[in-house]
Amino acid sequence: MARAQAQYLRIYDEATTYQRWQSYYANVTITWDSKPWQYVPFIADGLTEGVSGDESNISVKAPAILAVVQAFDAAILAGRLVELLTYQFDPLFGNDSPQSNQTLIGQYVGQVAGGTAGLTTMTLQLGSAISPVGAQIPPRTFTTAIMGKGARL
Amino acid sequence: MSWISATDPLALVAIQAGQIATPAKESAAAGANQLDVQQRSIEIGESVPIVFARRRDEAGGVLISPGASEARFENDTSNAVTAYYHLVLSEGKISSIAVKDVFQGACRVGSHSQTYDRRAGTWTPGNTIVDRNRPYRRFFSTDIFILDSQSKIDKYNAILTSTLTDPAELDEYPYNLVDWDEATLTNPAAPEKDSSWDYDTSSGRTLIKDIKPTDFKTPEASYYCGSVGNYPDMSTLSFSVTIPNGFDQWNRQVHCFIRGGMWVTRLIDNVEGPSDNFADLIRWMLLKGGRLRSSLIDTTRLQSAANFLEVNRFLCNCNITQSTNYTDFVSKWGPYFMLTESDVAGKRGLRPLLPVTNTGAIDTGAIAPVFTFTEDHIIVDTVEIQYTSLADRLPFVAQMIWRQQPDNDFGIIRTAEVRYEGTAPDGPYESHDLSEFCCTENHAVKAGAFLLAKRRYTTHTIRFTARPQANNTVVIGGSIVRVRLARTATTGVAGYHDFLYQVERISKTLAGELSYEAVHFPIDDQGRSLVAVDVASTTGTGIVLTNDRTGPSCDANSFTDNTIPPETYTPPGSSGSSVDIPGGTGVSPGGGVTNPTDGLDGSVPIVTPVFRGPGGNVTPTPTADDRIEPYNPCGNGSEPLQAVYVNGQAVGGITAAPTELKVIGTMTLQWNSSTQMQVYYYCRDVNGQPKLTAKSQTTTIQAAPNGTPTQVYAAIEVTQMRPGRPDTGQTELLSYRWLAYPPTYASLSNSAWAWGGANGREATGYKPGGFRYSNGTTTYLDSALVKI
Repeated sequence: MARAQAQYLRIYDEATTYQRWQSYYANVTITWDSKPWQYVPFIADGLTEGVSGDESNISVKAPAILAVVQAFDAAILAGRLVELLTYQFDPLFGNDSPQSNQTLIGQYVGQVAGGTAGLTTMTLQLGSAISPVGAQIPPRTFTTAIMGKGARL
Repeated sequence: MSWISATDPLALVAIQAGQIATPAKESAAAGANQLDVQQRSIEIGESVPIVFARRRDEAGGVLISPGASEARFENDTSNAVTAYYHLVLSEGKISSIAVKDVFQGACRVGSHSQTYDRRAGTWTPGNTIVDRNRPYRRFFSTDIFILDSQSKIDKYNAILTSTLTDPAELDEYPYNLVDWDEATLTNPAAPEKDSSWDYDTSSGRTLIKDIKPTDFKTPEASYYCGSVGNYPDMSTLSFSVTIPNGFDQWNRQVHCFIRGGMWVTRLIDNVEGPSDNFADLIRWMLLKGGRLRSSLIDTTRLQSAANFLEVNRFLCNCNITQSTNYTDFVSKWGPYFMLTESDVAGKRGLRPLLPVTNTGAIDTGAIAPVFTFTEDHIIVDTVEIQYTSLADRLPFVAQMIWRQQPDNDFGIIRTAEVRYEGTAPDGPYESHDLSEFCCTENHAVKAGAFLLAKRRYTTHTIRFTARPQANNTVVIGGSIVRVRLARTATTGVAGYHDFLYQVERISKTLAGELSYEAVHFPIDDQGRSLVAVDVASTTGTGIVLTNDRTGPSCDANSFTDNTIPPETYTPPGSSGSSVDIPGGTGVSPGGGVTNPTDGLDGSVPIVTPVFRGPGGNVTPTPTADDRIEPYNPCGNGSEPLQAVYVNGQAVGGITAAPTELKVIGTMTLQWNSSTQMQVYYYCRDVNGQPKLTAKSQTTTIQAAPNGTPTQVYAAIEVTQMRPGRPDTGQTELLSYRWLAYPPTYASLSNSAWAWGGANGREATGYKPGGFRYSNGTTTYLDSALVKI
C-alpha cells in the first residue's frame, strides 16, 4: 500500500468553468469526473480549515506561462472562484490516470485574493473577498445619494 | 511574498474556541434608550442601522431611537407647533409598525407613515415657523375694544381708551382677536373664557378691556431641515406631531418599538420575514457586508447553527448602529451565542461551541471522539501544549446584563449574577453586556455559565502534527478527538497524556502531514462534556419585573391601537451625487520600444566610423570587418602621460569642419583650414623618466603662435572599446568621437612639451593613446587621445 495525493484546480463562476488543471499526471490531460483536466505543474499549499481569520493562506504556485497568466488575470478581474481539490489514492494500483475510488481529502473554494509574480512563476493567494479590515458592519453609510443634505437638528 | 504567514500563539486557540476574556472596560448597558432627549439627526457618513428582531412568545423586539434625515416645522395661529421628522429605521425591509409602538419621548403621540425603498411622507422639509407674537404691538391692560352687533370687534369704533389711536393697527394682529371672539364671545354679556377680561356693558355696547396680551414665543426649531432623499433598500418612517403653544415636546426623540425587524429568508424555515436568529444575521452580513459570494457561504453549517439557536432559544433582537469590523463583531457576539465562526473548505459559517445533538439541543450525553491520535499517528516532537494561566482560571462572578422586554412598554435593563456555587462570594465581578441583543434571562445566564465553565474546566490547548490516515477525512474543524500519548520520560510507571480535544484548526500540506490545533475538551466520569452539562443545567430565576412607570399618562394614542397607518411616500428624485465611471479594458501597450538615449551607454547608436587623424582622413577607411586594437604610441614599456596640442600653420587635408565631430560640453569646434593639428606624446619610460617619443605619422612640429589661439582643438576619443572579441581577442572599435579642449591655454613652444611645463596642457582624465587598425593584411596606424 502507498499513499499519494493529487491536486486539481478549477476556475469557474456560477455559469461557466474556465479552467481545469491537475498537477499530478505530467504532460497529459486526464479525465476525472467526466471532465478533462489539463496538466499544469502548480503547487498548492497552506490549506487550513477550522476557525476563521486565515484569509489568503492558501497559495498556488504555477509557471508563468501565457495560459496561466491569462487565466489568473481573468480570475482576479472577474472575481472568479477557484476550487482546489486534493485526492488521495494508492499509486500502486495505477499511476497513469485517476482511480475511480480515490478519496477526496481536501477541498477549498476561494477567490484569487492577491499574489506575487516573477517572470517565470506566479504565486497566487486564494481566499475570500471578505476583507478582515474592510468588511464593516453595518455595510452601508449614509451619503447624500441616500438622504440628501441631511437635517441638522 | 507580500504577506506574512505565521502561526498564532497557541494560547489564542482558547480564545478562538470561545473562551471569553475579561471585558476591557465596563460601561452603561448598550441596550438602554434615553427617552426624553432631543430628536437626533443623522450625520452623513454614519452607519445605516440594522434592526434585527422578531417578537414572539412575549419576548424579543427592540426599541430603536432612529435619527432624522429630514424635518419640517410649522406653527399655526395659536402657535401650536407641528413637527415632521423623516426617520431612517433600518437596512432592508422591516415589518409594519403599529400606532401603539411609536413614541415621542415617553409618550405615544403623533402619527406616522412607514414605507420601504423610498422616502416616507409627502411633506417637504423646511422651517416655516412664523413669529406669531407681532413684537411691534402687544395688547395692554389699558386697551379697550368694542364689540359690534355680531360680537366681533369693531375695529373702527373699538377704542375707548387706547394706545391704539389708529384703528387700522388692528389689522396687524387680527388673528388673535378673531380667534378669540369667534371662539369665545358667543355670548359677550357672559364671557367665560378668562376671568381676567373685563367686559363693560353699561354704555349699551359691549366693551372689552384688559385683553390678555399674546405672549407667543417663537419656537426654536432648526433652520437646516435637509432635503428629500431616496433611501434605497431601507425602511423609513414619516412622523408628525402637533404640540400646543408653550410646550416643546415636538423636538423630542422619536422611538419605535420594532416587533419585526429586517426581513431575511430564515434558515430554520426558509420563510422570508423578520428573524431573531443570529445565524440569519451572520449570513446576511456575509452576503451584504462581507461581499462574499453565496457559493463561499457554508449554508449547511449555518443551518445547523440556526437550529442550535432556535432549539436553545438563544435569540438575537438588536439594533446595530455602530460600525464594526465583521470579524470583530462575530468574535465578540458569537461566544455569547455559544457559537464561533467556521471556515471549512474555504466556506464561511458558524458552528456551536458546545456538543449538539441531532435535534440541535445541547448534548449532555457521553461524547465519543471521532478519532484517537496515538504515537502511531503523531510525528515525534511535534506535540506542544500550552496551559491556561492561573489568573485566567480564578473563580469570578459573571454579571450578565440583558434586557427584559415587556409587550407594551420600554425594555428594562436587568442583570444576572452567575457564579459557581461556593465560589467568589464577593467577586471579582466581570460584567458582560448582552443587553444589545439578549431578551431572555435563560440566554443570559447560560452564556454566563458557558464562559464560567470554559475558564473553570478548560486547562490547556495542544498542537501536534500527524501523518495522514483516516484522520485525513473524518476529522474536521470542531471535531472531538482523543489524544493518547505515553509519557516515557519518568523513571516510574509510564503515564499517559490522555484527553479529549475539540479541533480548532487543521493545516494540510502537500506532503500529506496535518497539523492540528485543539482545545482541551473536559469530560466527567460519564464521558459527558462538563461545559455542556453546566450550561444546560443553568436556568434563570424566572422573575419578571414590572415597569416602574408612574405619574399621569402622556399617551395620546392608545397602547392597544394596532392600526397600521397607510403608506405615504415621495417618489425618488436625483441627489446629483452619483457619479458613474464608464470604465475601460486594460491592454498591453504594444508597439516597439522608443526610449530616448543619453549617449552614455550601449544604447547610443553606433555611427559609421570615419577614421580621421590629425593629418586628415585615414586611408584606406576601415571597414566593418577590420580589427582594431589599442595602440600605445609611447611604445612598449612607456606610459603615455599627456598630449599637447599645437596650433600650427595651415596645411592641406582638412578644409572644413568634419561632420562627424561630436563636441563635448558647450565648446564650439572650429577647424581652421589654415591650422595644422599635430599630436605629440609625452611619455614616461620604463624608468619613470619623461621622454618625448612617438608622434603621428605626418608629424610636423609647429610652434604655437604667441597669443591666445582662436581655434578649438580636438582629438579623437575612443568611447567604446569592446575588449576581447571571442574570436580574435582583439579590441573592436565601436564608436568614437572628437574631443574639444578649451582654448584657454597660453601660447606654446617646442620647449613647452616638457613634462609639467607651464605652457603644457594636460587633458584631465585623458591620456595619449591611439589605435591602429587593420584590414587583415595591412595594418594602419593612427593616433589620438584616448580616454583611459
